Amino acid sequence: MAARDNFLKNGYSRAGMAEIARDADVSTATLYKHFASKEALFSAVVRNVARSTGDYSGVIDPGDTAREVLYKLCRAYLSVQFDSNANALLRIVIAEVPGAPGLAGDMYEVLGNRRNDSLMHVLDELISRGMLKPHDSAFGARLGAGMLKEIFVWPALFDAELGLPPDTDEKIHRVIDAYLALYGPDASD
Amino acid sequence: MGLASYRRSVSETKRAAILKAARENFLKGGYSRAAMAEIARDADVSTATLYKHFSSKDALFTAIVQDAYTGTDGSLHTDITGLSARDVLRNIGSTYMHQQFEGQMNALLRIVIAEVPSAPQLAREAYENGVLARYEQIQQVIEALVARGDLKPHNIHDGARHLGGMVKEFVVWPALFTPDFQKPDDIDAKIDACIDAYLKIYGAESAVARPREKEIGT
Repeated sequence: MAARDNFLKNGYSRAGMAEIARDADVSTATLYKHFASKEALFSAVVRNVARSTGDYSGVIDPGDTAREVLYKLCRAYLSVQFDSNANALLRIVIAEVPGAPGLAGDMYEVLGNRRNDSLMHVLDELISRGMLKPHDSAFGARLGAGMLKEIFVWPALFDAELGLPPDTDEKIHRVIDAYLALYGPDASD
Repeated sequence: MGLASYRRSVSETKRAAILKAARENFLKGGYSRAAMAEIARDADVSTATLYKHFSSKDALFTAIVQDAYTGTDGSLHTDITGLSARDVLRNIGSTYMHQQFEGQMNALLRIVIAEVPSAPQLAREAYENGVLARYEQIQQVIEALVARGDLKPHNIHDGARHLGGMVKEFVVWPALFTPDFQKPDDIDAKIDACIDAYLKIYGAESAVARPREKEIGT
């Protein structure tokens, strides 16, 4: 927690291990025993954010329609971005790419690829229950995530003050409309 | 050439030289380390001339972003006459690809995003003059396609972003996290698949069917 606050306040390069240890009320020796480097610590912060809400298994409740499940997925996705500071962490990492490429690759793996995999499993489950047409769920997950990110996350990368807009629900449903037009049970071939 | 137009052409040449030098300078060291004096030297103009064109480093940076998106290199082919919806979207896609991979757009975007905490206004302006300005162009094209009956009437603001988001998922997001991201081999097929998806979502029935028949025929 101390590390996350520090990174959010100072960015990656200006964050100091000594200060983080002080804020967490531990010695620097203890800090380094847990995390060998600032890079390792930052990766752990990112993983923690992704873990807190990045797992979508169990999102399907009995009696849910495809739309209801997709809505819950979108909300969970946006919650990571806006409530768990993922937008701010993304900005920090993107700024650091030239100086710390490993860090960025690591973050893309956790917040990009792994999350897409998790989305894909839910889509597969919806397909197997006949709630979506059979389709390439890996590609579909990326299309869905791409649309959602473009509407909500992309503008927020350029403006730290930007939260979710008042018409978030309408915008989510337009993304879902698009997805169901592609892969809904009634979508044309 | 009259004197006035001669002067204008000299001025435009200098402006272009300044933008080019500034762009290289910003890409090399980021925003805060770029210096107006050095940019003037690289562009082979006096600092007085530089400041006559751009009153501040802020203004210069904003102009670079704007130029990258909507200048000669980045301007979209917006005339739909005689082109199918698919071809119109493909043209937009290929301009976009060119900007991202040959125009170092991702590096420029990274610089803008890096400035968000310390210079929020700069980042906001860059976003408005770059990202939003281009979306306005795309929305105009889409409106024309709707008016012609190629696309269904729909929420064009969000629809344009649905297409943009699908493409960016393969072109921009991975690239933002990878220095020197190279164009993937299958990128043209991926863009086509995104355009197919977009036409399936928003295409009018008749317009979606037409190019398919053509493909079968060839």
